[in-house]
Amino acid sequence: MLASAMTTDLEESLSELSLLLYEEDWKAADRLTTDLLLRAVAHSPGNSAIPSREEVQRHRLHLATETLATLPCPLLNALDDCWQSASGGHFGFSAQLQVYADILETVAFDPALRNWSMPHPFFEEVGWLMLFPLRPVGFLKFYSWLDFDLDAPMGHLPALWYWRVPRLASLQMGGFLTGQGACFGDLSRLDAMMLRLSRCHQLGG
Amino acid sequence: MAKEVIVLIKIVDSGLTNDDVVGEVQYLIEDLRDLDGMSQTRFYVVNEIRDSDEIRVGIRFEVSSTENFRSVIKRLRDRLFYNPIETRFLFQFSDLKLQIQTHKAEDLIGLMSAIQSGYLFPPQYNYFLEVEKCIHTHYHLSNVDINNLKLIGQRLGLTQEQAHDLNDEVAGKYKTREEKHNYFEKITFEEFMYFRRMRESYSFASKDRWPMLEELAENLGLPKSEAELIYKHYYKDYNEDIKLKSEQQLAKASQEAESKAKAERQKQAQQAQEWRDQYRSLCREAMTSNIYPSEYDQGRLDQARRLRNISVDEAISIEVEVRDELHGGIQSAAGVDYSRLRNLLHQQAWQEADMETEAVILKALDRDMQPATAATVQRLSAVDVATIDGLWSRYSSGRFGFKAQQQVYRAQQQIQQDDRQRLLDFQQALGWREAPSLLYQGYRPYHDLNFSLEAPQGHLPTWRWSCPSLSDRYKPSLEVIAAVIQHLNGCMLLEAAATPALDPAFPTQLA
Repeated sequence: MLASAMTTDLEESLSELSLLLYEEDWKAADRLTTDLLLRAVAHSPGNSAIPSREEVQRHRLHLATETLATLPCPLLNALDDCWQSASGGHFGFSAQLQVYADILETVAFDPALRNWSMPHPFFEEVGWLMLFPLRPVGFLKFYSWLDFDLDAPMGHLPALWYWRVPRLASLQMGGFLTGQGACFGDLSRLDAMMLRLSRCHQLGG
Repeated sequence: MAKEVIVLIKIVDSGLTNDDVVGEVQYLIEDLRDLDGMSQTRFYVVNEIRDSDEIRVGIRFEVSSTENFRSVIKRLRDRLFYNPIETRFLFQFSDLKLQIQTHKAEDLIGLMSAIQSGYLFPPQYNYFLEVEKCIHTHYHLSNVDINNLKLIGQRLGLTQEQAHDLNDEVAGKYKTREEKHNYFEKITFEEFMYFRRMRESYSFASKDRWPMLEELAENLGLPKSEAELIYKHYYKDYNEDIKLKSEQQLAKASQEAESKAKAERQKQAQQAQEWRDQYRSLCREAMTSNIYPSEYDQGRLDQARRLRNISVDEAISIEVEVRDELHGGIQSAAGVDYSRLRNLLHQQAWQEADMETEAVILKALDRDMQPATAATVQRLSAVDVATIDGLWSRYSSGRFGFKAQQQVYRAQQQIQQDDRQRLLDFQQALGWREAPSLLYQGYRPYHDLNFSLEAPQGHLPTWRWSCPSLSDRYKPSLEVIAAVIQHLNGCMLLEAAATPALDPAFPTQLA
């Protein structure tokens, strides 16, 4: 799968990502990571050409639950490697999966009871929740409010893969047409990504 | 009739010292021995006391033919010619003794002419030598020879009878060449017959018979080449015979050895089979309660394996067989290892076993661990389906597994005609879905499912391997469910007894 996808273009993008990460330009790196995921998704078997970044943005693609479940494992691993080595394991998909798996084991969370006052513990753990004075509320930060810094909680980044949603979906989730920011977390997409990551890990093991 | 001439030579020269005399005698012996036909002659030394020392002064020897005698005299004459020493010669021809003492060579010349005339030896003897010569050159007396000899006999003054007797004497019992040949052949044949018998009773290495037979041929006056041909002929026969016999013996021995080895092999195979069976029952004992033998049992098995001379590979294959027999086989067409799934099920770790089921199915599908779709699930081979189902139903006593799910679906077919509704009802019957209400679809998160034996029939294994997400809710798509049911029906036939009778009024679309 990757052999065909890993064109020179993709290799260049990956080395560009590494460069951005080592320069600690976390925001640009996050954007590039999401771009690469979206381009991999748009690069369906019938469509041989890998779409350019502009094309991806023009079509306003986003990573839906079903899309996340079919992301190519080699690409996820490659991106994760870049993030992990640049952040010393602090950022990256593996860091997020680790946080998520710990929560799954320790906290019984019933999505049926999800409401304002009971966000999924993962959001709080990785520091994606908007801070309110008294108690955590299930509202996520605007994307620009995130901490693009190594002081951020573990698994804080990459985040844009989750933030980028269609405007309508954002609105449905109680947001302000600004993507995932400032609205309730979508557990299905988060879980799909985490499930995908754990399945990819089994392949490696 | 004396055929020999006794010759005695003594050096009597007074001018020589004792040492000179001894030296001269020595030279004389060597000189004479050099002559043709004289190498076999024995020289006796004659000693004499001179000046109180016993020293060699001469020699004594016998000469048996005119030729030899002539060459001896010639040599003696030459010696005197070059080195005139006073010497005493004594020749004894039967009764006649002739003594000469001289240092002049000429004195011996007269003797030589006497020898030349042939009168020194008796005429019979000379005739005898002639006959012998004829026989040795032609091996029998031809007509020419006989006539020639007749003339010689007349010249020597022999009577007809005398000549004839001598002829017979020389020719011996076997006169013609043919007779000699036959006789030699007969002897050779007997010799080899004897040899053969000897060989049979005592197995000593065959000795070369040729030198003895060669002597016989010589004595018979048979040409050596002819004798050798006869000998070789019989020798060849004999050798072939021996070879044939030894080959037969060898063949017999090897046949015996082979049958013995075969019996031995059979015995060994039997023994090995017995040992393998013993080892198998030990394995069974060690693995009845555990999938893998405990450390203690492993040590015992290892010891038993060594005692029974079973190779490690063979032992492993026996263990695998026994394990599969006791705990369910883990065959896979896709090359997936189901041993971890078996372990988890054996431990009744239902949730982990369910997660492992997802892992093995996605690995078997080999689609980059992407969740199975209606299209890809068809690729799961019947072998793998049977293995997964076999393990689940074995450890849940038939409560879980694909077959259990199939049965639940069959039951639903009896009561629900609508395909879509039937799939929803099927999920509900499996306990994957609660009764829906107006605002609630009834799907629960994956971890809320019942991972225990109290769960409904067919509740496990879940089909999480077809789901993109689980924690929000476990909800396989209807399309996938229909495809999986169809695939299961293609892979596994439900036993008639387990299948509720189908109502022909409601033909199924998915069966």
